[in-house]
Amino acid sequence: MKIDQLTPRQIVNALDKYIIGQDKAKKMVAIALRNRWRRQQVKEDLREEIIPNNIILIGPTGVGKTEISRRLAKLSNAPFVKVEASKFTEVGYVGRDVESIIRDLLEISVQMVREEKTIAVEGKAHDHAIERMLDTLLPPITAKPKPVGEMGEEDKLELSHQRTREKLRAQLLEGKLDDRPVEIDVPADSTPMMQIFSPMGIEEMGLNIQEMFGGMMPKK
Amino acid sequence: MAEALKIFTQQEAQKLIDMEEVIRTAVARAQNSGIVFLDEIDKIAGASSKHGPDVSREGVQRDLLPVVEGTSVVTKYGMVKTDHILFVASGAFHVSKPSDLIPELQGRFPIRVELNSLSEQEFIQILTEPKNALIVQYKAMLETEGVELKFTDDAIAEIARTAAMVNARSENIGARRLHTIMSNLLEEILFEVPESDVKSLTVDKKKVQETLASVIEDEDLSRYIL
Ligand SMILES: Nc1ncnc2c1ncn2[C@@H]1O[C@H](COP(=O)(O)OP(=O)(O)O)[C@@H](O)[C@H]1O
Ligand SMILES: [Mg+2]
Repeated sequence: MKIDQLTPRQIVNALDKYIIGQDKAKKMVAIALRNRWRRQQVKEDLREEIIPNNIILIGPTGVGKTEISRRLAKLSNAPFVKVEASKFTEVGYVGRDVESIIRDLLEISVQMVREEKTIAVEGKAHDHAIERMLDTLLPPITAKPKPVGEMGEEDKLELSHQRTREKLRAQLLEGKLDDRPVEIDVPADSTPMMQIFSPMGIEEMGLNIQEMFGGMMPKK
Repeated sequence: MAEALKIFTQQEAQKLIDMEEVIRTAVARAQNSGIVFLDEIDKIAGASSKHGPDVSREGVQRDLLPVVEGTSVVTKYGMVKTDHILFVASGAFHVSKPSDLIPELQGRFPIRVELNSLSEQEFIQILTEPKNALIVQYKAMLETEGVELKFTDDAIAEIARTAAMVNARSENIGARRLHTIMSNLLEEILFEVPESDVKSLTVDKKKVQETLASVIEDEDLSRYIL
């Protein structure tokens, strides 16, 4: 679902599936989302004149303020961060720290895009993984080059090696070997732990995302 | 083997992904569709507390202003422009008012909406209607153990009534109360089910009343538990 194509009414309908009542708030966030997009389409000189449609949701705790915003983000596939404004009044914070909000937003965005790409290459990655597993189970033999047409001992070996490989492949694909133990080397820091956390998990847990992702970005 | 294959697949996927492109896309997405939820904005509105070492509230508003107005923030993935990021602020505004924010920041939040506190009737709907409703969730969880969990209508009404009552008596935490009530109500079931051979469980009004009675009776206790 692409938000550019969603009308405010469609956005409200989508929110209705998760949030009871609060019709006014749903309507206003839907308009705000559409207005942002409209503003982006306006010619640059005029665009600067248009004030963005940021919103204040006023209401007691537990009535859906966060939920509406989070759902809005989800249905528009938008990166979302939640911060307590009051945390910046705490001792130890210095002015520019508010920019960390944007850095966190970007981390979430990178994680989202990365997950999408991972899903997109999943099939291919699985194919490669199968080949690698076959290489692990049955290390390839290196045959010496031979004059054409001759069928020496090594060719027979090569042929039976090929057959075994195909048999193994079939068994692998059918999942018949799933429970068989196999030893592989896993570099200690390569476990993609980001998969474990959903985008909303991270900000709730207050983890230092930058540290978590440390090993996964291209080295500069 | 299955585990090893999974690790290989993840590693191969990482090799296939162009990280530079991921970052380009991610920066554009954050800039153009990012949403920042600024909770408890009311706590930085109004005059600063006279005592205490807190950074002044107005100071925090002044720090937030450029980010909300549109600026470029340096990140390890490059510059991010904040001009089109959507900011949704939220707060109870029991003490302060949005008009207590500094005028410049007020100007950047032209839309104000009030949300209603939720009624008992809405609690009933929240328990049952959303795609991710609590009752839907608990049913799905117990289904994984081959148990069908059912709630009678009057049980659901009783849960909603209890939630509204506890909210009125102790702190009003809105729909969050439903979470605490439900987990209390189902505590025994969730504990016992794996070792019993029941295939179906029905929660009725009586069950709700009995299970929650002891917690509700003790006002002090319910302040902590429910
Ligand atoms: N109007 C509502 N409809 C459905 N669920 C709601 C509603 N209001 C609150 N909830 C549920 O209650 C919990 C707290 O809501 P939240 O949006 O975080 O409250 P707040 O208004 O404090 O931001 C969430 O689990 C949310 O799903
Ligand atoms: Mg809240």
